[in-house]
Amino acid sequence: MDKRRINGPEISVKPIEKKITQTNSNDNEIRKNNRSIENIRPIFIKPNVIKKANGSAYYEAENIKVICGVYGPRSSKRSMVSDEGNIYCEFKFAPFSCNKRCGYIRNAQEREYSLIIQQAFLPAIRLNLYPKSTIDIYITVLENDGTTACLAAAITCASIALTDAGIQMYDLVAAASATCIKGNICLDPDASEEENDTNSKFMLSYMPSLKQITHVLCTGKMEAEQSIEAINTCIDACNSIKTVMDHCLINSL
Amino acid sequence: MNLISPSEKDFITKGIESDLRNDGRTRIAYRDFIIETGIVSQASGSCRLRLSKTDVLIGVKVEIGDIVSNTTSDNNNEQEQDIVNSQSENDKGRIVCSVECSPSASRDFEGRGANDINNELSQIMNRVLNGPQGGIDLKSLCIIPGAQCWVIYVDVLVLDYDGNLLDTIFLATRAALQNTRIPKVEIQDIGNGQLEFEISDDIEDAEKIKGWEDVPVTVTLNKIGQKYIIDATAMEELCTDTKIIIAVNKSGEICAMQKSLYGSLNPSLLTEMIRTAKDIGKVLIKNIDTTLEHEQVMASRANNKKFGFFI
Amino acid sequence: MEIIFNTPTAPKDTENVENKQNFHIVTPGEQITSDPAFMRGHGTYTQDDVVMSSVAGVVERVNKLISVKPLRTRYTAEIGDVVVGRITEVAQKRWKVDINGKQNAILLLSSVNLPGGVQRRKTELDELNMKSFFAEGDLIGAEVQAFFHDGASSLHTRNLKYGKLRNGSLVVVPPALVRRCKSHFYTLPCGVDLILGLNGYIFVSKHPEKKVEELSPEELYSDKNEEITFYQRSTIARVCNCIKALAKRYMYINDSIIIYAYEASLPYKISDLLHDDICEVIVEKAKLQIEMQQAL
Repeated sequence: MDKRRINGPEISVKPIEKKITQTNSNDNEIRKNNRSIENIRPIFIKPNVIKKANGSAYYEAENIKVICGVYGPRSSKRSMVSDEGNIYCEFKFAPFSCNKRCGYIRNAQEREYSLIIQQAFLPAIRLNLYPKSTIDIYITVLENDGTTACLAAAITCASIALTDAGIQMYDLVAAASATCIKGNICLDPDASEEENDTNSKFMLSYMPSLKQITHVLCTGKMEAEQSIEAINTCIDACNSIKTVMDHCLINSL
Repeated sequence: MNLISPSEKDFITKGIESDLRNDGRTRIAYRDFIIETGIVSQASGSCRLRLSKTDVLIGVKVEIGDIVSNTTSDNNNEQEQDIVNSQSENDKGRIVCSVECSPSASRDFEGRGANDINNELSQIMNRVLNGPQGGIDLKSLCIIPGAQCWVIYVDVLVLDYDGNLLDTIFLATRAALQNTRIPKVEIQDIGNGQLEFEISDDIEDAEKIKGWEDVPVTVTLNKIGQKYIIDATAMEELCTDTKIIIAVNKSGEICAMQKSLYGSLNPSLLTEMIRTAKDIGKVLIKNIDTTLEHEQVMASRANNKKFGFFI
Repeated sequence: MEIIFNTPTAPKDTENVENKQNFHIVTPGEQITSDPAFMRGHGTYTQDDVVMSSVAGVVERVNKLISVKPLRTRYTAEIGDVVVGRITEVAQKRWKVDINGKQNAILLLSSVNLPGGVQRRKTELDELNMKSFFAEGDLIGAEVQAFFHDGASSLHTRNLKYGKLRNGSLVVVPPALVRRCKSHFYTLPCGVDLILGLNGYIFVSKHPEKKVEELSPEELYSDKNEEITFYQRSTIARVCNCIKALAKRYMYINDSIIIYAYEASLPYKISDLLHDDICEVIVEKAKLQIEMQQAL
């Protein structure tokens, strides 16, 4: 029993929302809101928003809001004699961020995403310069509009936060998400596009200058050639996201 | 023991570059599997699959569950809760997977170390099997729409470990699901729009799960140096810097893809890996299906005995 | 590309009826003898002047010493044993080595050859310098020198035959299959070197180009492998598979049976040696040859 907080009733039922069925006036439109299949929602990134942390960043793209704090390198709690540093990542959806209220304790999916983000950064950070230390990355999603897009946003946001903390990296890590709707690869899906089970979801994180993929995650059925096409589209998207990241870092300095 | 010396690592890496691994296999070669289904009588379906020393036992149980939608509760079973949360329609059954690595398999599986591995493997299984890419027709598992459905619990027990755990788990899951029989249900209308159902006790009446042929299998590709291998042994896994898991189904479609471990890779290498995995996945499915058919033919003969754990 | 799914098959009855009569097999709690003249060795205990067995195994009698040797047990070290071990930990002036025994063995800094014959350094730089000799994960060949009072063995590498192992791969077999012989270092006619550790760790490597005596101190502790050709690599892989096949069939492992098994395996592809049926064929052939040898 969670005694630290005043809990609401144990079982709560969400009020029934009327699903707004938007009939597409134009049948050829694959996506809503006149978005083209290559359209990524406009990104706003601001570093150094949490003063106490060594590095931090805030990322916003229409309805996705993510905030990331980085602490480190600091000496690890487990004083393991190791030649290389360690990355520890905690990813959490804020309880009010999703359609359905998430609990305070991290559930299995959030723990898996934490592991994914840690693996996405392991090739990028120069860990051999930080022996016996650990770098802690704490990511909170304030508003969720598409889980795969949120994951990509979290990785991009964490890259900026790590740079803001002055941690040495081989390259910035940019991440892009995509979905396959009716045979077309559409970038940056939002929640309504993701809800449809038949659409497969794809997330890729990439180091643009070194041309190396640091993580790839795909759920849902797609043809082998389609997934290869998705990889290439996401790589192009990552290249453009990188220019946004560079721009915002240089502006802030 | 998860230690390896730099010279052993170099020996393995150079061997893989010349397409000759420590045990003489080429880069794209599997070890022999030993498979047996239907060995646990209490489960609705079961399978034991051995790949050299890696030993995996899968038990599938089908139970009646409620179709729940849009409720939040402090449920102990958080994995089931995650799946329920993502199910927004009320005429589908569900599959819940859980992996348990027995501490007897490896020192790493003792105590808290096992939690991370169990969680990771369970999440990968849920990612692949829950949803249309998992192959199983979830709508056919519904008994009374909005009220009751069949819940398929897939429980994996890892008994012994010598590399390539995930491929073994998914192949065994496919075999166990083929082996599973769901009892027949008769729905009666007792008036007032209320429906009641009765489960038939007859074993002969039980049906196979619809859609088991489309259940995908995974191909794990380990990148060592600049080349990649299939079916790594425990030693080769210690030399891997990047692992790509690709789930392929019978028609060659990619059902899931995930990268793991600490390295990075070229897009062109990833593209090549996807193409290779697709071909290998199709061969795996074809071969395991043939063996399962053969096993069923043998089972129908009078003098057939199940070996279970005797061998 | 072949992927094979086998269904389990009943094992053939191995008839060793004649052999059974030569061995006296006991189980825990079984009485071996009540003659008080015998000394008790490993695997036995006394209860009211009666010698009973505490493990399941074969009774061995050497003059007045009775002991019971179990089929599968952790390796028990004796002084003078040659073992292959893996460094698990670097501690103050010593390394902890895993030798597949009941406890980890200890390799003291004073028991290794320091390069150039320099006196042991007793400064605080010890720990860092130790890593430059043997680091965690390294494979070493060593000899059991003594025991500590708690039963852990103390190793030494004060001979040029011992030291860091490279240019090859490790095969693990049950320790009971490796028996004590005059020498544990062999060079097979096919051109591979073999170190049969009594703890069940066998290291198969390429025959080094330079003789051990000619190696400079830096090279003695280096991690770099020499150039290994494809042919040498395939020979090493073949020998490893032969050893694994012999271990699967519970045959005693020594250099002659490995050579016979290697020759029997030449008609097959190296990867075919992983299949059970081919293993059986090779092991049978090797067994026959050994028996012929013994009959002569």
